Amino acid sequence: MLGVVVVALVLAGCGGPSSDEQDRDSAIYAAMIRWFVTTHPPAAMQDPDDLPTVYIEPLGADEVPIEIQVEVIDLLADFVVVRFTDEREESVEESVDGQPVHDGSILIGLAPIPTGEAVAVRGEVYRSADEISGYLVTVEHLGSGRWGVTGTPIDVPVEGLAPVAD
Amino acid sequence: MGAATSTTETAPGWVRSLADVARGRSDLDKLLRLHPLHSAGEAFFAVSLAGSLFFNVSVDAARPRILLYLALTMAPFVVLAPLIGPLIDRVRGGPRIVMSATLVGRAVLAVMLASQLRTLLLFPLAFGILVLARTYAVSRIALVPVLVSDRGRLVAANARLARIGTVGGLVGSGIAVAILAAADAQWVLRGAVVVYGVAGLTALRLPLTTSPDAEAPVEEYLELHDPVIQATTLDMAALRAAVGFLMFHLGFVLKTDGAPTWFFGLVAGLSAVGGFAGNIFAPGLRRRYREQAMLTISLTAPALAILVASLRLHEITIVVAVVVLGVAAAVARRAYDSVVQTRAPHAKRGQAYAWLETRLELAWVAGALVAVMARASGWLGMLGLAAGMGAVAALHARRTRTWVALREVRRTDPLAVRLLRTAEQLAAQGDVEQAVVAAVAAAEIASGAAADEDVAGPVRDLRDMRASVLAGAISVPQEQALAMARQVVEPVEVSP
Repeated sequence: MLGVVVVALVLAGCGGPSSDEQDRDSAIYAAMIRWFVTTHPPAAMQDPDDLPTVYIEPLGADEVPIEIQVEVIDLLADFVVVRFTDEREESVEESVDGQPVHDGSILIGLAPIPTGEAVAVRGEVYRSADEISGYLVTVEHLGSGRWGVTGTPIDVPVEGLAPVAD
Repeated sequence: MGAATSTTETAPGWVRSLADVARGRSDLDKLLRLHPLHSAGEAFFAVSLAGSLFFNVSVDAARPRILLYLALTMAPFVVLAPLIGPLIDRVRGGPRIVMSATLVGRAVLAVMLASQLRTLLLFPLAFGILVLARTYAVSRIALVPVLVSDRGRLVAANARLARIGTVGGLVGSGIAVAILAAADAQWVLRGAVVVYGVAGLTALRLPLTTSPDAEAPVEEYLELHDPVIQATTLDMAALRAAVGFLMFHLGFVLKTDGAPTWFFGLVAGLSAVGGFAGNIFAPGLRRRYREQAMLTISLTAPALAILVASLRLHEITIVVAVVVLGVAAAVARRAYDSVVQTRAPHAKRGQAYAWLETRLELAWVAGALVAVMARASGWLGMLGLAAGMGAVAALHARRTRTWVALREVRRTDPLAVRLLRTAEQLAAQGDVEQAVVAAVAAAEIASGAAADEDVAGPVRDLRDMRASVLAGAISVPQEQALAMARQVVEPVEVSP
């Protein structure tokens, strides 16, 4: 019994980012998602009062820490509904021709963030199997904890969000 | 007034029953008035989670926290179980205090949760509500035997509580979903606060009872440690563990599969409907089958339904599996209550029931923990669950056959032979101590009947073994004991 509690505590406690790192990474991801949603808008919702849902998948082996996920969701709460996913089928209708994202929305892939005041982060956006793009997005610290996408993102080949094979 | 009374008297039974509950005529009626409010509060809380962070964060990222809080959920039971029973039995008004505290506590946590649905405080607050709900369940089960003066009505009283609780939950779900559609999850939680608050006040009207026997009578201890009760508790615990496992496993699977939020609600609602249906069917089954047969059905049917779902994972097979498990858990509960009522007639105290129920609640949490730790794919988790339940069902069937065989020891056989057969059956079901004691008794009786000097040696050795058993020896050669007893008894068996 005590062993189970200890194991759970260890599992829950390890690997979390510090508060400053967390704020920084959350702000960078939020800026990238905002840019992707603006440049690749999801289909409009039937009820105009409802915000569209966009799906987020990590590019690479590591998942986005839950603290950062929560902060990103909160930062974008008035702009878009953010849903972090574990499996492709959570966001993509794999059995439908063209494998589109649910409800005409988009799936955004986000790579790990390097250190620095201006960072180039890989991001990919998927609308359907035929409509996937990869970018290297530069995000800069604008002061007071705010981060924004600057310059024009560079097109790069798609790696992480390649469509699921039939 | 007279007209109203007359109308009630001529009304159908269920209307009169509801009227009695509304008036709170008996002590049990007061609990029957409280329980649907508790269930409605739980439904409000469950529906509010549809607007929580859980559906936005990735399962793998949330898993360590869920694991942590589930593990922590186990801890209070270990601490609280020894406290709740005595509080209910010994303290006048103890049940009021415990049950009202769990409801008011949940109202307070729901107030806090309303502003934290989108933060990581969701997890500790939600699991806090879970712990209090489980504590309420233990208290309720412990209180019923104190409120029901006629021991023979205990099963019926528990079934009535289960039925009225399900109705309360379903009505609560309907209202909560309507609030969610019209407003948001925060308003649903504010509704939960009101329902929990009203329930907390209603709990204060529970009777000021104390158990007739504050100290555990020896009979109660022996009855509750009866192998049949112990084994049936294990069967019931397996079902509870299956419910806990399936709830968390499906929660993860459906989220990962991108199932819409309403489908989670549908699954939860149909599970409750299954429980309600089980409570309706159980009395009919009880008239037709023995308790052990009901348990066999309750373990086998969901194992098969879950197996089908694992082989063909689809919304429909999932829903069928959930409903079948809901029905089975309710039917098994009725059988379990009946076994306890029949085989432990001296267990009147709340403590006894708190002790049994705590084990079942812990099994639920353990099942949920396994689901979170394993994080198996949909079909694999279901297959594992089906295999586990199948194994429990097989063990149950084997035990039941043993008990039937025990019942079938021929009354016309000499006492020594009957005792030897009993010892063999006890050994087969793993009850080493009782097996050795019965084997020695058989040999002693047979040696007296045979008046044979040749058997004196084996009987002496057997007595030494019994002394070791009574002294608490860990390793007892039961096979050797049985062989020696056969050596002494069987010549008697063949003699005219």
